[in-house]
Amino acid sequence: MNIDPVLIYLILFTLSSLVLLIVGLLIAYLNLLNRYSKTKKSSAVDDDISPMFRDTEARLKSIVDNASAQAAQTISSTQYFTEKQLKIFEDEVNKSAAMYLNLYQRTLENLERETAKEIKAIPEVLRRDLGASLSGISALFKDDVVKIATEVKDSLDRAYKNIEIDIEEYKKTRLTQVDKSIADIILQIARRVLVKEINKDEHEKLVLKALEDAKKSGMFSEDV
Amino acid sequence: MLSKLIDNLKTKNEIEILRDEIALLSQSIYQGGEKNIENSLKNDIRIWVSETIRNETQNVNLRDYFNDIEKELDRIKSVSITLAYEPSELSVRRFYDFVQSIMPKKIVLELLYDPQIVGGVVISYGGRYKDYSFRKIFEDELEETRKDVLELLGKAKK
Repeated sequence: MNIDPVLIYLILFTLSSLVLLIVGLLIAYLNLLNRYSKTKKSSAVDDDISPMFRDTEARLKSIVDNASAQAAQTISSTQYFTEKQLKIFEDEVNKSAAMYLNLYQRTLENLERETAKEIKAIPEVLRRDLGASLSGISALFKDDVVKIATEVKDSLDRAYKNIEIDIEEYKKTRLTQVDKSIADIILQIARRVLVKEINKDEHEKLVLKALEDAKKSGMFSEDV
Repeated sequence: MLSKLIDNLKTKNEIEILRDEIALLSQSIYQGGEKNIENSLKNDIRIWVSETIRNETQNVNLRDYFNDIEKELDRIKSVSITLAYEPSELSVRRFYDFVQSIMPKKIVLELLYDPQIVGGVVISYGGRYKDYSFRKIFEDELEETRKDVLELLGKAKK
């Protein structure tokens, strides 16, 4: 039981005060009685003041009774410790206080240790979580990167193929132009030569020969 | 039986000339009647045509005669031949005689001049086409030896 020593001291002080009060009242009562008896013996006018004394006596008695009653009540309601018991109580209180203090200290130390451990573990936890997040993110990006790389490669391949096609078309066109140029040059040379070399009779013979060939090939047949 | 006017025609050009002359005579008849035609025959028409018309229209209505001639002229088919030179009249006759001898109906030659073909002839008739020109021969030969020529040209350039 954890009782505050101050409270005990208060209780003791209160008790002491009550006891002193009772003692003082008793002494005052006895003095008063003494005076009364003296006065009664020496005075003839005690019939006039006896009711007053009786009243006073009654009042005092009532006061004393009340105080006694209150004192008794206070004493009965409070624990009355002997010095030994107080000592034991004090020892027990100190022991409890020490025990709780020890427990509190141990709790504090444990808390401190655990907190330190938690604080130290935070980077590890963070590192683990961060690592996991980064792995997830990199895996996510990896797919996108692969996809983008594939698309870029396909685009480049398509563009390259288109360029190849364009180059082939250009080469074909240029080759055709070169062919035509060469043919034109050769024909011009041939014409210049042949005009001088072939006379009209030879031309005529060539035409008649061509007409003969056309006739043989059925060009002039009537199913036209 | 064909009129001699038709029979004497050898080229498409001659058809057009005769067509113009017939149109002129028809116009004369329209304007002044058949009596007026003699002036046109004397002044505007070739001698052989005038003589042939006089001979063939002695007992024939002139209008009908000219109409028949025009219809006949429209029916005549032509054989187109492209030459690298301008032939003489004799050459044209020889070409015409050769072609007409193998055709059952009356034909004329459409003579075209194209020195680009260099020599030989290009013949076209009834949608058919035959190229016997030197140009065609050169182009075919060139196609076969094109790569060799380009290689040679390439080496010559270097």
